[in-house]
Amino acid sequence: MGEIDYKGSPFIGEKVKLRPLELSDLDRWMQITNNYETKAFASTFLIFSKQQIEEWITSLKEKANKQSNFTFAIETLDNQELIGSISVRFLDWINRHGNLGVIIHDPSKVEKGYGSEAILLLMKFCFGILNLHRLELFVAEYNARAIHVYEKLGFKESARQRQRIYFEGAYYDNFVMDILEDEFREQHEKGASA
Amino acid sequence: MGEITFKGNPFVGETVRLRPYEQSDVEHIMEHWNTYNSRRFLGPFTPHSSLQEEDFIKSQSKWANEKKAFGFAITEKHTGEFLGGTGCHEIDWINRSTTVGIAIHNPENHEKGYGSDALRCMLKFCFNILNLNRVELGVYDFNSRAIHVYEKVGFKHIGRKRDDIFFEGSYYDHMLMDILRDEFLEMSQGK
Repeated sequence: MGEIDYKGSPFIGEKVKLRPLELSDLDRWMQITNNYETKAFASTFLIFSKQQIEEWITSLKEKANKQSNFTFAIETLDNQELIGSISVRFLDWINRHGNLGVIIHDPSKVEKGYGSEAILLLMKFCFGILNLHRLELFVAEYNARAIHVYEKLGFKESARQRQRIYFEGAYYDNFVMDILEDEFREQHEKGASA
Repeated sequence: MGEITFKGNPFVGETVRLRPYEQSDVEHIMEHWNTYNSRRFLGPFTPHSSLQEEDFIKSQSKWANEKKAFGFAITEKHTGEFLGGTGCHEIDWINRSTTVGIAIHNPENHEKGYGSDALRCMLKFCFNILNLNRVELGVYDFNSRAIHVYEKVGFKHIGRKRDDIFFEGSYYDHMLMDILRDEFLEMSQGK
């Protein structure tokens, strides 16, 4: 006791880092957001004005102070490029759970392991720093690529919300997936410390 | 799995009942709490106006909504008589730690076990409902009656802030005590 046991920074990986979003990210964000296909996979079908994004970035300060939501920019390490964002939101401190949301806006940066590593970092943050017991996420049934990544990282399907998502005239199911702190430690931290 | 296990209502003890404060409690608070004799054990030593006490009760609802603090009136289990207050504040949700406070206002109600009972209710609330890991409290070193109760309920001494309290020309130490979740659960099992 008394010696600190480092398991590695939850903010810096090998390909990406997580950092708070700043208002200076606004121009870059406007370049990469509002991509119709990317957003459709994240079940967000609306596009946003610069003013809306500015208000959103500003609102993150208050949410972080209230500990209801922590949102981070995902930035590549090789050329310091902002490619998306990741959050733990709907934080419930009594039951100790949160909901993960992630989006890689830049289409040239998908399928390169950036998102996967960002999620792993956020899991480290949630279980190692925030002391959560359970982390859940929602994913549309048609987002097979994301489901594959989530499964690989240890998330399990825990529910299917039938016809929860309406898109272009059709309804799609939404999956709830989750991972418990013991499962995270078993898969990602065993043998990693010391 | 799937069956709920009740371990006892934290709001009902053997002799007391905890309920949210209401504005109608102000008159009782003014009667016995706002006396120099009572306040010298908890501070601040300056009496509050009823307007300040009204604000205190309003802020309780606000803090409960924000999950920053939970304060309850302590009432006599059968008669409903207002006895005092207890609460947990400075809740730290990441480290799962909080600080509790308790007071039985009317000296005539002291030494009757109300305080210990209410404090045990509060600990049940903190550990079984709020899912906290640690509960701390501070007590002035001249408040030996309270220290005895805290020890009996299971709090351990962890240190003292020296000369932290200035009262009537002298400095007194502020004792710190705490109890951990596992210690509380072990004690409750034996009961």
